[in-house]
Formats: sequence, structure tokens, C-alpha cells
Amino acid sequence: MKKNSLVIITMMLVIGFYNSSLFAQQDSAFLGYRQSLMKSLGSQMGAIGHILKSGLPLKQNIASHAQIITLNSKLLPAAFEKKITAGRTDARPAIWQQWSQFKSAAMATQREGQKLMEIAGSGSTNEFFAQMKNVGMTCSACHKGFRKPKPERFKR
Amino acid sequence: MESAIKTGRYFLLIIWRYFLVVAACWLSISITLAADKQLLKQGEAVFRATGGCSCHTDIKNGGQRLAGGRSLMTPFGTVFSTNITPDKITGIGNWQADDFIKAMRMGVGPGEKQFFFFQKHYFPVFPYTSFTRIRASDLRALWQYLKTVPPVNSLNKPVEIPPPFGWRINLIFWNWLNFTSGEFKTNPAKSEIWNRGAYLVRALAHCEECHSPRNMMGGIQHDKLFMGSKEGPEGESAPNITPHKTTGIGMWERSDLTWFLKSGLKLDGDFAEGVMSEVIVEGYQYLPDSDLEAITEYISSPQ
Repeated sequence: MKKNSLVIITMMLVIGFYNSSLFAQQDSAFLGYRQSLMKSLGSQMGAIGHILKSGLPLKQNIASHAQIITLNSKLLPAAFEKKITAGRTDARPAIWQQWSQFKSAAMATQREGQKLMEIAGSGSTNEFFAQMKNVGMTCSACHKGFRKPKPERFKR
Repeated sequence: MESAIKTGRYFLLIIWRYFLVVAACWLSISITLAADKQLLKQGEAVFRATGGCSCHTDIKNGGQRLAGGRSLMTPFGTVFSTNITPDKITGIGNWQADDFIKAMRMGVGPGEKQFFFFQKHYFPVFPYTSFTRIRASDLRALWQYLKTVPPVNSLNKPVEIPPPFGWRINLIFWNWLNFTSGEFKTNPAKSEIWNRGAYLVRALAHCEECHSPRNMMGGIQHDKLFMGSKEGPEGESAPNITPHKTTGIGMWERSDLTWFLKSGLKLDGDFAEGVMSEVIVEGYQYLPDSDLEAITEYISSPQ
């Protein structure tokens, strides 16, 4: 009887550890996914910046970069739905405490990205520039409330 | 017949004189209005170059433009920015141009002496240590511009700096040790664009106030100018902006820096953060390209 109890307890412990390690692995995968998504958004902004600041003959590409920004920002709410505050993350708990504001902020980026995409087909450099700044402002507004301040961020 | 001609000439003379008087008045009014307009334009340009005086707006808490009330944390305590709108009771509406110039040049407020010879000194969170270098013509233009912003009735908050650091009388000694007043002097050995950049960076944009480390008294360490600070505004760190290749921004191309000041976008596509994003949004983005290039010229080789 004692032997059976010991086996059951051991099995439960093993399953518990296995599950928690599985969850931890999943959390870390979530964090990796989020960071890739954010990096991609930054890269698109960087690419547009290179085209505009150096006058590269690639203006026609701006629409594609803007499209990626629009699509990526659409993915943000799903990517951040799971609350993870521990580990290698710069996300502030405010994301989940103010979930509807966070979703609106992601939508604002999507909306401004969409506008950039539309302007990219016909607009002048000044118009691109003004709209690109609008996109940047939405990123900045979201970071202000929902990204940890510099000293608290994890070292990359 | 002759008398009719005389009368006609007389009337013509009166009309001509009347016309001359009206034309002279019109011309004088037009010249004054054009000069005022030009002065306001210059004032706005100066305002933008200072970063839009963004510390005087409590952006985080949705405060009204330039009405102050924003908390600025320092290692000595918290200071609240003041109302610089032309409100007559709570702002600077009752100041004269000379009061404003004195505040910017010397860090001293208007009003009667508080204690014997002691005047109301401002804490050096207000960057008069840099603004002292602004040219008188620019200060007058800025003053005219500030008079045009909508007045806001909002009381200034008292500073929260515990004694002895909170005693303003200490600022006499602080100034003696850490402050040199005086307008910006051009360096004849350098180019015009470099000098323009130096004036913008060191006087108007007051970059060294955040981007330089401070000594134990809170004074700027001038031998480490632009080397960054761990105790920047609002507890944020401010990066090294010297042309050092590894610790500074020496790897940035000139166009990167100009672009950053214009758009707020860093090399990696991330947007400027904290106070830097505010001064770009409220101020630097409005600077003409020639000024942004001048800043880049100076920052790339400040010596």
C-alpha cells in the first residue's frame, strides 16, 4: 500500500514538473514570437527610413513595407493575449491591465500603416514622410505605456 | 476763370496731401505688421529649436500646453515645471521682456528681492546654464512668441526638494561653482555651419543638459560633455552622443543623425523614447534641413 502511494506521488510530481517545464517552454516560445514580430515592424520602418532619407530609387517598395506593417500590427493582439510578465520580456503588465487600450494602440498602427500604403501609390516624398511619422508616433505611443523603461529591459 | 483754376489746384493739393498722409500711415502700419510677423516667425523657430519647451507641458497626465506642472525628478528631489503661458495670474503674463531675458540668462525670476540682496533663483533643472548662451535678438523673439500662446490658468506647484538642497540661497554658491553666464561666442577658426550647429546644440537645444554626466552638486561635467548620463531627466538614462565609435554615435552616418532629429526614427526602425521623442515631436522636427545639418556638423566634431 505504502509502495503504491509512493509511486503515485512520484508520478504526480514528474507530471507536474513536466507540465510546468512545458508551460515555461511555451512561454519562452511566445516571447520569441512576439519579439520577432516587433523586430519585423521595426525593420520595415527602418527600411522605409533608408529609402526616404537617402532618396533611394525604391519608392515603389514603400507600399509593400507599409503592407507588412499593417499585417503585422494586426497580429499583435493575438500574440500578446497570453499574460507573460516573467522572463526575457520587455512587456509591462499594463498590457493586460489595460487590454482594450493596448488593442486600440495596435489598431492605430494598423490604421496608419494602411494610410501609408495608400499614399505610397501616389503621394509625394513629403506626404510619405509625414505619414511615416504618423506610423512612428503610433509605435511610440504604444511603447510609452506598454514597454518597460530602458533600465528595466532585459539585455539582448 | 483764374480763381476757378486756383480753387481746383487748391483742392488737388489737399487731396494729394491727404493721399500722402494715408499712404504714409498705411506704409508704417504695413512695415510694423511685417516686422511683428517676422519677429513671431523667428520666435517660433527659436521655440522649436529649444525642443518646443516640452518640459513645460505635463504630457503624461494630459496637461495643457506650456501650463507646467510636470514633475521632473532629480537626485535631490522633485521639481515641477512652471506655467509659461501668458496668463496674468499663474503664468508669465505680467512679466516684461527684460524679466524673461534675465530668467533665461541668469536663472533669476522677477520680483522683489527675497532676502537682503537675494533674488529668486531658479533650480538648475531649468536649463538657464545653456539658455544663457542664446542671443538677445532670439530671446526677444521667443518672448514675443510666448506671448501669443493661449493663456492657461494653472497654479505652479512648489518644489519637493528636502533641505538643505531645497534652500534657494544655496544656488548663489551653486552658480558660482557651476555656472558661467554669457552669450554664445562664435569660433572664428570654424566654419559658419559648425558655428550655427554649436549655437543650436549648446544654446537653444540645450543637448548637454541631458546628455552629459553631472557632478555631485548636479553641475555639468564639462570635461565629459555629451558623454551621456545615467541620471537623465525623469530618471531615464541619456546616451553618449560624442563621435566615439564604440560608446558614442560615431558609427552613425551624418544622414542618420539628421534623419533621426527630423523623424525620430533610430537606425533599427525604433522610435525615439522618453524626453527625446517629445523634443523631436514638439521641436526639432520643425527645424529647417540647414539647421539639422548644422547640428550634425557640430555633433560629428564638437572640438
